[in-house]
Amino acid sequence: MKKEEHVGKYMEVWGDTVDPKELGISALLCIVTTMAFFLIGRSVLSGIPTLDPGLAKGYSLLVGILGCFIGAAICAKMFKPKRKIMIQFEEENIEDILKAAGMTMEEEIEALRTVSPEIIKEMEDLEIYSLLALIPEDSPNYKPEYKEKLAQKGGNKA
Amino acid sequence: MTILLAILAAVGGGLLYTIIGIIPGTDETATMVPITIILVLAGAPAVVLFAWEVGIITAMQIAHTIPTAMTALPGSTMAVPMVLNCSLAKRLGVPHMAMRKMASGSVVGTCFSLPLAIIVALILSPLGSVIAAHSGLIFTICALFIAYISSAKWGAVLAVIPFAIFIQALQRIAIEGHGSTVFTSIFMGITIGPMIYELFGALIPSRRKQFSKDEENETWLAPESKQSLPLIPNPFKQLTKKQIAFSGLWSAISCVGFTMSPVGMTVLSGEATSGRCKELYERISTALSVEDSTSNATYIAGLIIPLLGLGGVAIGGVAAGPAAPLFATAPRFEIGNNLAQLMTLPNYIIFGFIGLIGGAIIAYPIAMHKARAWTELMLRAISHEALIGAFCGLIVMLAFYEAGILGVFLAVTIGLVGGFLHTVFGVHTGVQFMTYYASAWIVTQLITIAGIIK
Repeated sequence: MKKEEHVGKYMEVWGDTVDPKELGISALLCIVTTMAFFLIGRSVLSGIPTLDPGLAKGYSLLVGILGCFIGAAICAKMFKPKRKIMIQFEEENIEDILKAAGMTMEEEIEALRTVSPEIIKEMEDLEIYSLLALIPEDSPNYKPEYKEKLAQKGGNKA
Repeated sequence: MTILLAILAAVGGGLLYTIIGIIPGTDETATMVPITIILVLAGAPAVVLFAWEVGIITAMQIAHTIPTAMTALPGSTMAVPMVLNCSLAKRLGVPHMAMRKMASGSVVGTCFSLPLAIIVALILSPLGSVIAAHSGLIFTICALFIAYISSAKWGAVLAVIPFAIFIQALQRIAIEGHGSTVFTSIFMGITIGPMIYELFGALIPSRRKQFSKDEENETWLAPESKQSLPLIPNPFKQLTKKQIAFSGLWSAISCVGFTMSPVGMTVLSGEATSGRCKELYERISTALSVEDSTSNATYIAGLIIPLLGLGGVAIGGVAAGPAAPLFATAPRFEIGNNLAQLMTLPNYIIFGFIGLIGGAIIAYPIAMHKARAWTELMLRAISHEALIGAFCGLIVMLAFYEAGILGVFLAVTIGLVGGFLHTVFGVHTGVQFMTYYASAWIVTQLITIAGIIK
């Protein structure tokens, strides 16, 4: 007999991880609640003689949406998300970030020399000293305090 | 009364699509179409539908920036081009900057594109009747063009004809079983295609391994910002002058190129802008503001120009995608009898601004102030299973509403074929939507040719 291939517990559907069994139950449950609300809504609303039949059909869709929300709420309560949430505090090495952006340290230093004061102001507000400290001394953007501030924050992790 | 209803629709839609936008990975067309169809069928006035559409577009385009900035997961399909710059901003420790730039860019883009789209529409409007008279041919040309610029290139171009035959064959089955052709079932079928394909693959033992995994998805959430801002910050003050100028320029380009793919246009704007900024921070912040303003502008232009300028012929990725129910929803709307015929020029201006403000009023402050808390809430409280489940419920109901259980069969059938073409061959759903509109004309021509050549 052929050995069974290893099959993971979860599945990737529509860009996120799901449990196939729970997904099947969710889909079934939501279809049932939606259709139940829709069909009941349709029979009640079409029984009202003063309501235009076309509108009655349309409104029964709104009743169906209500059923859909209820179904989804039950599923959300029953099945927990399969996501690991982690919180990131560390700031990374500036050279790695530049590399990910397709740039080199030299290009960045050269660009910082001439960048507009409006941008420098924004960077100061956001306290991006890891970039500000790279500004060369002969540039009008240069301020000695950037290097001090960077040192206070723990320095460039190079 | 109508104005009140429009405000209600824009704000209500704004709230709903703010929540949907924050859930990572939700597709615009897939989430906007079902509820819009329901409002059309429930008999909402044309101008209210227009305000609703502008409102949900604005809200979704702002809200999708929230998870994109906070977790570097795309909040929706349109946010995919922003992911790289968002991840860089996050690594620099300033994800809040990325989000504020994108959300402000989004509002700025809508402000620019609303008047610009109306102007472009008025310039094009003499062509409207000509275009309406030859819509079959024009849809075919658009389908072939969109196919060629897709990643499948000539393969997609060749796929247009068999896919058109397939759609018309299903329409014959619908006539046989239901008495008339169907729209919603086919349209929703194409929309859910990629998902149906994945679910179907999971049932095939040899394919299951490819789709399965042991680990939960890891999501990195950025820490809270220390900066304080007014409750509703002026979006224009959040951007530099250069960023506003580029946003305006790309909004104008988006209006002229409204038939192009919105994602493609957004990528283009980001690349072009990045090239003009040498410094890292400037590059990230400028590219993000311009990208989000472009993505919003393509949507607004893609909605308004086909309606006001082309007499309601659904040309372009937005009119044939997220806004499709406003162009054709049997039995209420069809090409030649839709919002275009029911609205006047002042309507577009008044209800467009109601939509813009209504859509932004909730999403914008949330993006500016509560981004982290809301992202965490969505990630922890709403499982993907519940989301897909709700979606399945909506689709079954809409297909059933249109053509009974036959509608459900048709939707699943086209979904499986379309999903295969989309996922395996890169003949994306946009090509398939345009082919749907072109299919009647293509098949008529094929039958004529078949009659001549025997």
